[in-house]
Amino acid sequence: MVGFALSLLLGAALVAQDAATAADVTEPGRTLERPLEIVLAGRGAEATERTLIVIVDPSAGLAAAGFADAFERAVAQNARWLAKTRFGLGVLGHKGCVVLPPGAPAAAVVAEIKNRLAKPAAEFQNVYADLRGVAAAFSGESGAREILLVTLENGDLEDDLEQTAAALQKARVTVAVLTSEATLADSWWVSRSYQEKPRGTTLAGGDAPVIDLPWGWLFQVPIANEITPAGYAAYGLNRVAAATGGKVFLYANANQTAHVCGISAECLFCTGEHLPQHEGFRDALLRRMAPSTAPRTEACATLAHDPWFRLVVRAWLEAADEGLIRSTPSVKLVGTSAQPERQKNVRVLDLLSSASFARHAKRAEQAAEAAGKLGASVQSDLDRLEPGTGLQRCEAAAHLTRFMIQLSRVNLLTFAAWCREDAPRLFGKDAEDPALPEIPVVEGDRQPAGIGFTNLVLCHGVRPFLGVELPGGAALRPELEKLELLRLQFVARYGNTPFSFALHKAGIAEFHATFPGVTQPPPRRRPKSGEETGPTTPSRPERGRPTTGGTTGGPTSGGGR
Amino acid sequence: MLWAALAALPAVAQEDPAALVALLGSADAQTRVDAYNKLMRVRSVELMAQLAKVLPQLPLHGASLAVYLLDAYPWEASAPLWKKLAGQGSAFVRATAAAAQWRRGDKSQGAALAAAIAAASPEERTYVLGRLHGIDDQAVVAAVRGYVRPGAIDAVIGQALDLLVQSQKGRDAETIAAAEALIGAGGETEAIARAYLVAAGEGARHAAALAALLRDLPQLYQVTRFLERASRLEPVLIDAIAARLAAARTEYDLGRLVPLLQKHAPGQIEQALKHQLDNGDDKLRSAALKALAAVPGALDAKKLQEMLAADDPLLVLAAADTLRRMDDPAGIERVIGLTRKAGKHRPEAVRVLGGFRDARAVPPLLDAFADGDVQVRRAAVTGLQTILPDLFPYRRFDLERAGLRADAADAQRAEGLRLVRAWWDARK
Repeated sequence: MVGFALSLLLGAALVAQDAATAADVTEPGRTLERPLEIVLAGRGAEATERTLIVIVDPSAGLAAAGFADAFERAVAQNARWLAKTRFGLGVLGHKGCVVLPPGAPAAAVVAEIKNRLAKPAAEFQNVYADLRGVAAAFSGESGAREILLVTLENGDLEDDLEQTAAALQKARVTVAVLTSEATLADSWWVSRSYQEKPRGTTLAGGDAPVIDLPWGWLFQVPIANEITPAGYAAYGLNRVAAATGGKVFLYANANQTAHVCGISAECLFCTGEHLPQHEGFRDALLRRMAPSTAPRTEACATLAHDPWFRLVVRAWLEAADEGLIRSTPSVKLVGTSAQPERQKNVRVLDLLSSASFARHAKRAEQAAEAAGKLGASVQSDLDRLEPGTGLQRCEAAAHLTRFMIQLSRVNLLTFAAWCREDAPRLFGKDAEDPALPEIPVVEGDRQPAGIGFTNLVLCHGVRPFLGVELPGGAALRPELEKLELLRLQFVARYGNTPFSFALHKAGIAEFHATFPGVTQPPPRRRPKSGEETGPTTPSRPERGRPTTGGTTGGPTSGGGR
Repeated sequence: MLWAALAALPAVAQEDPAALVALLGSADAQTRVDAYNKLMRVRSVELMAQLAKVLPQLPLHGASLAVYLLDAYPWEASAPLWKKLAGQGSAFVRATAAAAQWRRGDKSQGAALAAAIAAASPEERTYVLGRLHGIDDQAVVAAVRGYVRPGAIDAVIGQALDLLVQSQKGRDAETIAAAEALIGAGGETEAIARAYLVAAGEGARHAAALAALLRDLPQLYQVTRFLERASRLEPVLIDAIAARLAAARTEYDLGRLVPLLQKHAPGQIEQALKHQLDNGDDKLRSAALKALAAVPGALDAKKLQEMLAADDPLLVLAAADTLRRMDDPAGIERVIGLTRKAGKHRPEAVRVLGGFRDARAVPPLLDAFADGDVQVRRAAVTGLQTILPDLFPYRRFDLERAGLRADAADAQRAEGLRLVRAWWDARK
């Protein structure tokens, strides 16, 4: 323990706070108009000689956003500054990407964008391979060289990011990116490793070079990392923009900005009219939480020296060992260096698979005790570290990890109490029907086959739960009070940032029995000759886009219009 | 004649399911609705067969209620009836039957459904459209598009376009052409068409004309339903919405316009609503206050807490409710006080109290249930129905079965109240 604490303090001295981050490349706003205005008008007061290749990802989202019309308007409005611009057009997924080589009339580019967006595509696209291909198309072009990459869906599919950055730098091309907001330390693809993808690629997609916030905590659905807007784009796109001196513009339609307390979770304290004060992101705070845009290896080296990150990794591994979380760190710390690491198999606490309530209760109590010890140990390390000694993002992740350990403890205790007290009352031999106004929770005399849960979201904080009847009763109260104290301290430090958003999307679990269903075996499929269609590019599955925190136009640097 | 005779049946006979089914054909709307509400509680295989039997003969209003009743039965039980009804009765009944089967996987019903849509009388059309949600069959879409034409009823045009928006995944050139054919019709028809076109991404061409129409439009719903879907609005249209909001004279208009600005130009809400805070209409003033509270920075918690001390009960209630939405329960005691004070504000006070998921709200809500005013009782029941399951998430409640119905007879209400009070006291 002493050795670990020493390594935290030593690391603290080595972490630089002024490294390049996504905040340096991300422009304010969430519209289509502003990025088009800025990119098309160029940087000078007068038209300058340049080549601009627009690369479009023809997704349904971009078509619905009205990009083709917006682009046409922007071209007309900036005609004066475009007098010396040689336009080209690339389309992601098109062989070689370039559809119209530099020198095409602006009207032809507009027409082709309209044409492509009329038939939107949903396949995974390797943006980075296409960027490398387009870099070569600038050969022989004089003046400034620019790419406007417009992709709302792709950017999370990576092959060789650094080779892409190097190719673009060598070709002296600046890349501006118009894309959608990523989610905070996104675990979506890591938790879906079965997803088919084009050969030689990896699905990433979070805002940071590596997943730097533990995900998959016990009794938490959905995973906060997968629904928390990051305020920034996917790391790969940020990296390309940063490496080429470009900018990143985020787009969100107006429907993506409304507040909802629980996404696939229940809220006990409102019916959708909540006006949370901790949710809307504030520029200055968001900037402090911005992820790195350095090459991954460099970013990992920085993380390896960060005392808060080292604390997170230690807590993450121990939580995985105790079955409190179903993931392992995406980085392996070796001495004072770090390297990306694949997910490992973790110990899963079997708490839900049968109706053996007494056995589950015992296991949960043991796990709650382990969570209590881990929480105390993490708290002790947190107390030893001086705020400001590492990356603020990692500091927030460390405090959020502490909070989640305590929340896991609360959930395990209430689960154990439900198994010991509520379940026997519902399903025991002497179970009695309650008197009106109550009615039986379970109709008939069905016997349970397992246990399920939903989350009662913490969007309104923990305090209102003190007035709610939860299994565990009075014994649970001090644990809830401790949880609320941690939340208040967290909000005071990191309120109005994505980390606070993520905290408030976690929940206290509500348990229920599950019953055997009547199932039918699926019809057996028999292959018929001639049915094979050959290999195809996998299609991108539907995924709810993250929504921006707050009620105004956006969470980030300026947001809105 | 038959329906009139049945409507005159004595009250005892009206409780008989067969007689209640007959009353669905009554010319009196209240009689129909009462029969519907009672039948909703009956649920039996016999009743289902009876409903299907009379459905083809029922007048349109009654048929629509019978269809809702049939909807409540499991598909496995009602499927044979829908099949039988597919070729019978009015276009509304035929369309309903075909739509039910289409939705359950029988896509061959698309042609029959499209034919029924085309055959529907102008009076039937709005009812037919109400049965088509989620059906994206191309023949059906084309038939619905046929309703979008000059001379059609505005409500039907709006409903048809709304349905078309939902059934089309991308831009729909044919619907855009149909809507453009309405340009020049003037008034609400043209406003609906232009609003649809703005939402379809044609804002650059239609925003200015729609902005001009918006100024004098009597009803906003048919226009705002489309503008809510637009991914962006032109500045000229946003200005027109803000101007209309500043001049709003009803709470309803406020409720339609504020969300639009919240989505597209939240910065303009404060200015547009400021002078509404001095409006003589209490409801409008408190609605404006609530809307302003949703705008970050327009009203802060301190201002709202000051308002808790105001003399105007509606202002106090709006402030307390807004603070509650901001996770500050500071106003609960003041609201409890207002639920006990006589005045026109009482239903609103009880409604606001019902929003607090707080044990302190339960006893005053139970007291309010004993009130002589049915509106107060209704708000109390709604509040209790919300609060109790939230405070006790591991229990289930049936307040109605316990006798807590706002419109029940005095004795039943008294017994219900006694029962729930006893339960609550035992919990403490």
